[in-house]
Amino acid sequence: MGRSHYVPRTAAGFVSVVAFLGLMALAQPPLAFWVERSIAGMSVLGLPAFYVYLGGIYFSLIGVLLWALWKRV
Amino acid sequence: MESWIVATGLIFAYILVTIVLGFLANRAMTVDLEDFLLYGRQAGFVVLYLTVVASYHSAFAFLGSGGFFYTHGIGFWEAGTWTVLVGAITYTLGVRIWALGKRFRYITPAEMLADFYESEAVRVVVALVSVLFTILYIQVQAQGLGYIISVASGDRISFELGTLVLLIVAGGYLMAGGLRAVYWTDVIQGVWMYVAVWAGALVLAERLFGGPFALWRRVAAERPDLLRLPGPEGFFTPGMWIGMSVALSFGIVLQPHMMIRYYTATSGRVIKWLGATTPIFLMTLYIPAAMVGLGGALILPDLATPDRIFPELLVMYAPAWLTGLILAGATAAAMSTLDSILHANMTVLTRDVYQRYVAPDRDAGHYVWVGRGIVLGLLVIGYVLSVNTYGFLVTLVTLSGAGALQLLPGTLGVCYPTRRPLSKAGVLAGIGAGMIALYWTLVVVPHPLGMHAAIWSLASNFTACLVVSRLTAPPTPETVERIHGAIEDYVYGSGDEGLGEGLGVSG
Repeated sequence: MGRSHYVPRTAAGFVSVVAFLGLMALAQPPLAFWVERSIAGMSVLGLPAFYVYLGGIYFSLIGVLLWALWKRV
Repeated sequence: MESWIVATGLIFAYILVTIVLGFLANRAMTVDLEDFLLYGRQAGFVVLYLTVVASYHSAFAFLGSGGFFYTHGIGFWEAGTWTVLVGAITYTLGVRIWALGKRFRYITPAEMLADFYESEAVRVVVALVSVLFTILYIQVQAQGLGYIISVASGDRISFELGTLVLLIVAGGYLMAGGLRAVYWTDVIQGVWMYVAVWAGALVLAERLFGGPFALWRRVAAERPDLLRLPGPEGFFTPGMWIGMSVALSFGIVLQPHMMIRYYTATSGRVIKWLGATTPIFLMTLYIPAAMVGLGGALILPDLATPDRIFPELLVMYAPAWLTGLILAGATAAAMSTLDSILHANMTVLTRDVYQRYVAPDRDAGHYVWVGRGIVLGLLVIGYVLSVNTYGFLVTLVTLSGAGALQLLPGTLGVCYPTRRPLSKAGVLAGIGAGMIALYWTLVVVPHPLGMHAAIWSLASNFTACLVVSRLTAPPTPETVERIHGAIEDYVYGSGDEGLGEGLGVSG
C-alpha cells in the first residue's frame, strides 16, 4: 500500500483532527486538573466553574464533529 | 391504590409493550441469517441512532452514573470525554468497519480480523475475548434490573426474582424476533430513557432543592469535597481519568454489540451522521445524572448501595405514577443494552464457533434455533453472576471495556492501511500480553502508579503487537491489497457509491 491512513490528506481533515485533539487535550490531565485547581470554588451562573469548563469543551468537540460532517471529511 | 403497586404496575406495563414488539418483529422476520443477525443491513439513521445510544447507555448510565457522582463527585463528569470519543471513533473507525462489512459480507468482528490476518486462531481468540468480557456487561444490566424492581416494589419483589423475570423477558423477545426485535424495542427504549432521566432529575431537583441551580448551590455549600478532584475518596487521579476515558470509549465501541451495529447501516454516510450526532444524546444524559448523584448525596448521605440512589429518591420523593414511568425508563436502559449484548454474543458464538467448527452446512433455520439456545445459556450465566457477585456498575463496565480494548491494535491494523501491516502472530501476542497485563494490574497490583489497568494492558498489547509483527510475516500481499485496497478506494475514492449505496439518512 501507499500512504498511511493515519495522516489526514485534506485541509479540512487536517483542521478537524488538530481541533479535535487540541480540545480533547484541554479535557485531559494534566490540563484539566490544573484548570480545576485554578478555578476551584468559582461558579458561573450558579454552576461550578469546572463543570461549565468541561461542558464547554464537550460541546465544542461535538461542534468539530459536525463541522467535519458538513465539510464531508 | 398503594404507590408501590402503581410504580411496579407501570414497569410491567412497559415490559408488556416490549413483548408485543418482539412478537410483531417475529412475524416480520424471514428465516434468513442476515435478517436475524444483521437486520438485513437495512438500518437507516433514525433507527440506528436510537439503537446505538440505547445500547451504549444502560443501567450503567441510568443507575451507575448517579452512584458514581454520589460517591466520587464531579470527577465523573469526565464521562463527557468518552461519549464524545465514541462519536469520533464511530466517525473514523466505524465507517471503515461498515465499508469492509458491506464489501466482504462480514457478520461478526472476528470474521473481519480473521480474513485480514488469514488466521483461524485470530478468529477464535477474537470471538472468545468478545464474548468473555461482555458477559460482565450482561451482569451489569441484570444487576440494574434487579435494583429497579426491588426498589420500586419496596422490596416485596426480591432482587433475585426481579432480575430473573426481566432477563426472561429480554431473552424471550430477542429469541422471537432477532435483531429486528432488538432494534424495534431500542427505538422506544432510547427515547424513553432519555425523557425519563431528565424528567426524574428535574422533578427531584425542584421538589428537594427548589430547582437545579439551587441544587448546585447547596452542593457547593454543604459538600464542596464533591466538587473537587480527585473526589472525596481520591478516585479520580489523572491515571484513572485517562484510563476510564479510553476503556469506556474504544473499549465499548470494540465490543461486538457496537461493532455489529456498524455492519447494519444502509450507508457509510449514515455512520458518519451517527458519529457526529450521537455524542449529543450520550453526553447530555450525564447532566441530569450529576444532579441525581450530587443532590442525592445531600438527601440520603448513607446509602449502602450508591447505585440505588436514583430509584430510592424517586420512591421517597416523587409521585408513584411518575416513579413508575421513570423506572420503566431505567428498565428500558438496562434491557436495551442487555438484548443487544445477548444478540451480539449469540451472533459471535453461532457464526464464529458453531457454524464454523461444529456444524458448517446446516440450513439457516437450524442456526437460528442454535442462536436461541445460546441466548438461553447466556441468560443463565448472567443471572448466576448477578445474584452471586456485586460491584459498582461503573467498575464492572470499565472492566468489560478494558477487556474488549485488547482488540484495538488488531482492528486498527485492518482498518488503517500502513506501509507495514501487522501480522497474525503480532496480533495474537498483543492480545496475550494485554490480557496478562490486565490481570496483573487489576488483581495482583491494582492500578500501579495510579494508572488505570486499561492503560497498562493496552500499552503492553501495542508493544508486543508491534515488536512481534516486525519479526514475523505479515498477511499475503494479495490479502493486504484486497482489504486495504478496498479501504483506500472507499475513503479516498468512490465512497458510498462504490459500494452501491446512496447517501440517504432517513430512518
